[in-house]
Amino acid sequence: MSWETVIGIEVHVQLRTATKMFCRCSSEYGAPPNTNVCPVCLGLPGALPVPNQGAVDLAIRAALALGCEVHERSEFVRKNYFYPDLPKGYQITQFAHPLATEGTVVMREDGEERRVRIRRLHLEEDAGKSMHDRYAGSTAVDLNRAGVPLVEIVTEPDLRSPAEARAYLSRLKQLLEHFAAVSDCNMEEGSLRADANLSVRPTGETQLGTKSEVKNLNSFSNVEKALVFERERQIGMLERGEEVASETRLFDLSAGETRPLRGKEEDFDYRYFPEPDLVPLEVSAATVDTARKALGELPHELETRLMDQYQLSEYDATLLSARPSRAAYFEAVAGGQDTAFAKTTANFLMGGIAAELNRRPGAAAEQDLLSPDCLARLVELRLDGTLSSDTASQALGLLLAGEGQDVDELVQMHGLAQVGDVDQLAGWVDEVLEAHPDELARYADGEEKLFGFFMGALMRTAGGKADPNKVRELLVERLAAARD
Amino acid sequence: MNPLRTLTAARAVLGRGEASPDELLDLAETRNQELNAGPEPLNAFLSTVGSQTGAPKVGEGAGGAGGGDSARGLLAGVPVAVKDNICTTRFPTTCGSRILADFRSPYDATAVRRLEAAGARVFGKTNLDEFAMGSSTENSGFGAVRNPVDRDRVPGGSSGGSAAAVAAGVVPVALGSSTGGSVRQPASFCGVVGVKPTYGRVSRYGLVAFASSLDVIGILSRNVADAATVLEVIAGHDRYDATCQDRPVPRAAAASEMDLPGVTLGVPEEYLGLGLDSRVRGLFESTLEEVTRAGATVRKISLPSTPAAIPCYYVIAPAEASSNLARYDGARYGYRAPATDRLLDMYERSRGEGFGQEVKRRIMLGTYVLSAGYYEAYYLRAHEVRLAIARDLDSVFAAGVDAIFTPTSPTPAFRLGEKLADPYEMYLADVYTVSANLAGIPAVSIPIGNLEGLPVGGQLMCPHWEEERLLGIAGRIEDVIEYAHPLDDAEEGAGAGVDREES
Amino acid sequence: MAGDNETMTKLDMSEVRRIARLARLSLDDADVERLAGDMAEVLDHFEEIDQAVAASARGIRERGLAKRTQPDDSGSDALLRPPSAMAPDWREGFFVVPSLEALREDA
Repeated sequence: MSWETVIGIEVHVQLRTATKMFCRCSSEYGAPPNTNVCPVCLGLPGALPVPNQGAVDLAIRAALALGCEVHERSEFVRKNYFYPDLPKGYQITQFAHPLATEGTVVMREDGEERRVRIRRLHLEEDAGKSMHDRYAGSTAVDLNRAGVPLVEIVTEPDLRSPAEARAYLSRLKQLLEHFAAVSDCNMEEGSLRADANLSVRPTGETQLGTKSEVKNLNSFSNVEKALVFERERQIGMLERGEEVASETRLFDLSAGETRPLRGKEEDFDYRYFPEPDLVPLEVSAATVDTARKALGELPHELETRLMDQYQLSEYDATLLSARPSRAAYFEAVAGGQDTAFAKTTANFLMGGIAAELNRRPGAAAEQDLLSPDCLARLVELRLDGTLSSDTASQALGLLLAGEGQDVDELVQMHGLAQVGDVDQLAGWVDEVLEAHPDELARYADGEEKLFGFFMGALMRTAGGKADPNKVRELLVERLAAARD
Repeated sequence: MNPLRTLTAARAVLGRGEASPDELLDLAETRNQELNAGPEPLNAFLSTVGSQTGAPKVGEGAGGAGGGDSARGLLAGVPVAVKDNICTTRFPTTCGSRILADFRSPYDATAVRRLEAAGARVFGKTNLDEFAMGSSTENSGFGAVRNPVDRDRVPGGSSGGSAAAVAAGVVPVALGSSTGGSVRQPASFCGVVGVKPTYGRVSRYGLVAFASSLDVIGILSRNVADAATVLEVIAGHDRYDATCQDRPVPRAAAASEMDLPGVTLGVPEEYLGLGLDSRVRGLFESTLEEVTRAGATVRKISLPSTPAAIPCYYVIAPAEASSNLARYDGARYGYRAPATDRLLDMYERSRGEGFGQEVKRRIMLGTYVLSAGYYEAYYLRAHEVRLAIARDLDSVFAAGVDAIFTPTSPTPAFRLGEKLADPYEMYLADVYTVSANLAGIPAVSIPIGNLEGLPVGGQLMCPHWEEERLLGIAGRIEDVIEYAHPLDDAEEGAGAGVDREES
Repeated sequence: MAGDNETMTKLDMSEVRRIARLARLSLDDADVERLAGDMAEVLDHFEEIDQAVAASARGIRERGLAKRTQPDDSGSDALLRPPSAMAPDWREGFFVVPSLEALREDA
């Protein structure tokens, strides 16, 4: 029997605010324990929550980036449960009336668009942090994180494989980190946390199977690994005629497997009710409109346009669209130019410039490394044959190293221009042939694959500056003569 | 005359230099000690300046400069009392609960900051029903408060300590809090004025939450003008309370400009049933005659949803309370049961030992009505009933009634212990007052007379944000009635006021 | 009270204990017994509310209080005393409570 996998993902994303959701304590990560706290986030008697407008604005942006409908009126509720890192004994969240619903995230793979429906996006406050291994028999609690603003984003069960789940998370991170710019989406620091639920069913079946929820997924690759394990586990059970339990499981990275949460399931009854300390959250149509305009193109729209407008491959378009700043830079260089220009620009961006950006972590967009004008001139010189691919790379290296900003001057100063002068080229050909009499003899005897050897030697002798087309012609001529 | 009886008296003494602010605090201390001496102590205060050895001098370097500039100095040098469910940094804030017996708030409530910014000196924190849950102040974890008028009787509640302190002349004004009647009902029992402002008028920041959608800080005083002055000081926008509205603060001066002729008072027929003591009814009706003679128009009205108010309140308030009191779990502050090595034990024992019976009763009830399967039947339905009650009140005001006038409580002060065995009987003491909390409208109780030496109050209710009208009408009725407080008679030895007994 | 007799909802003891667990309250048997009666009385009075009252309010929009938010800049209310001054158990900057594992293993 063949099986279909059905996956839904729930993600919590910390919003990039200066302060917490309901008080004005710093939401910065990494402060000494229990120092970013006040009466509100400590849950002191008499303290009251006041919503952070900055968090509301970011949540609206996030919702729009996911194609959601943002509701004019949404409602905060209390989710009641006891836990040491939950200072008030309830979490302020949204339930029946979330900020936004019915979105779509569009992914692209092998020329096809895959759409994942977003069920809801809502605003809530984070809990503090419990540390169980610090003191034997005790739990230590740090409330710095308590009250930090989160959005929870829940998909419909639209994903069909662990790889697709991973691709969704990458797309979500790209959207939230770079397009909506609402979070740094750092999984190590916990600013993006993912839980997944998975079920399997016989291919063709329309009813959903019993799902398990997998938690403790601290990287995209672990999400994929855990889901692969979970899929195989469930299929194995069903094939043995066993039933899959509806349960929560933790992923154990070292063992590479998921395990049920230990102990008896608690009697969960969250007793949701409208938060009486807050009035309903109202978002005007005008606010949503303004936010939508500020957001601009979404990744899949950008990718499609780059492919159409510049005849770029899906691969190139996807890489260029990773961040809106990169695409904007690309267009500042290649806008209005022909497709060859665009392709060459893309090559520079994906090659030397991307490598340099990787070398400077945390730093800089393309714009900070090299001005678009400068790159445009480099592309021109490459395309008109002044620079070979080799010398163009050298020139780019010099520009990125800060050796100068005037491309023409740099090319001149370092003698990078291609040599097209026939006498000079002929001199190099002579030099190479004289230096390799044995190879010349073997070539003359019919070993034609040695042509490449001579070309390589020629380019080395010429320091990469020989115009490859002209020098090839000359070499063909001379070798033919040698054969006769 | 006791300079601590009214603001006017205290200001006069201070103004003439007959006493310094410190001496007034000392006088309050002396009076409080006298009232606590003997076999039947008043027990109105849980802490006072005198009990706070080593604490910074009260009233100096007041925390925060909140409050409107116009309010500055209105209470200069005057001792005030604050109900002990309102946070203060210089006194413990216990809420009358063992679970917070040793708790000192690291911040001051907005209302307290504003009192201090206006020059007031907080003399002490008043006793209350635990977490303001009760109508007799017998539910305090630190002993019941006695009614200063009759020590065998309750002062009402839950702001019983504040009402008793004002009635007994320890301080001229005190802050209380009202969730269902906790300012007006004790005011009525102790023969003082009790104001419950519009929900959203006074910041709740620092008022320890009982039922957040109903709670409001209120004022107890000897006369309407003093309450109006304190309201002007504490009212107004606060960035720490998202439900506190940015509206012009009601001015005490405006409240004194009102006149009774032209005023229409609505008297709901439903309020004259509902277990109303016939003698209270008689006293209330003779008051109606007096205000009619003074020019007011009295009109019978109907508020058909009235019988639903108490049942509705006892679903909504416990529901919110069950959530609001979850934070008292022994983890970060307050009482932690000793020798608990499991988390669940720590939770259950700290809360089981720290909370008193009434609080547990309401937490249980609230947890039940919010739990899965019951939420719609109880909480959601109660919410609809609440809207119906608010709508009934709105339509009465829309039909030309300026204020609704009712008795404050069905009976005068009952005896200590009389209603402890029957919680629901106790709940009915708030039958006339809960509607204003459910609707969020402002209301006041003023003394309308005494029955066999026990004070009786009348309640006025006005539409949202109409405190100036409310206190204006209350002030004129107060003028008409010329109420004589039983303790003033005793103190001054002369039956200056006519005892308005109904025989 | 009228109507006490036939409509009286006597709450199940096990239900009361379940609610007590949810509310994290230790109760003895006498408490449970007493609460079962007290709670039932309040709920019965609620059941007696005329159905028409609630029904009449359906669709009424609540009197709105104005929306209030605060800007995303720092400035929380200061603590005049640090958290360590009120914590029952405080070590090296942390609030400390009995272990969570104990909660999970609890039967």
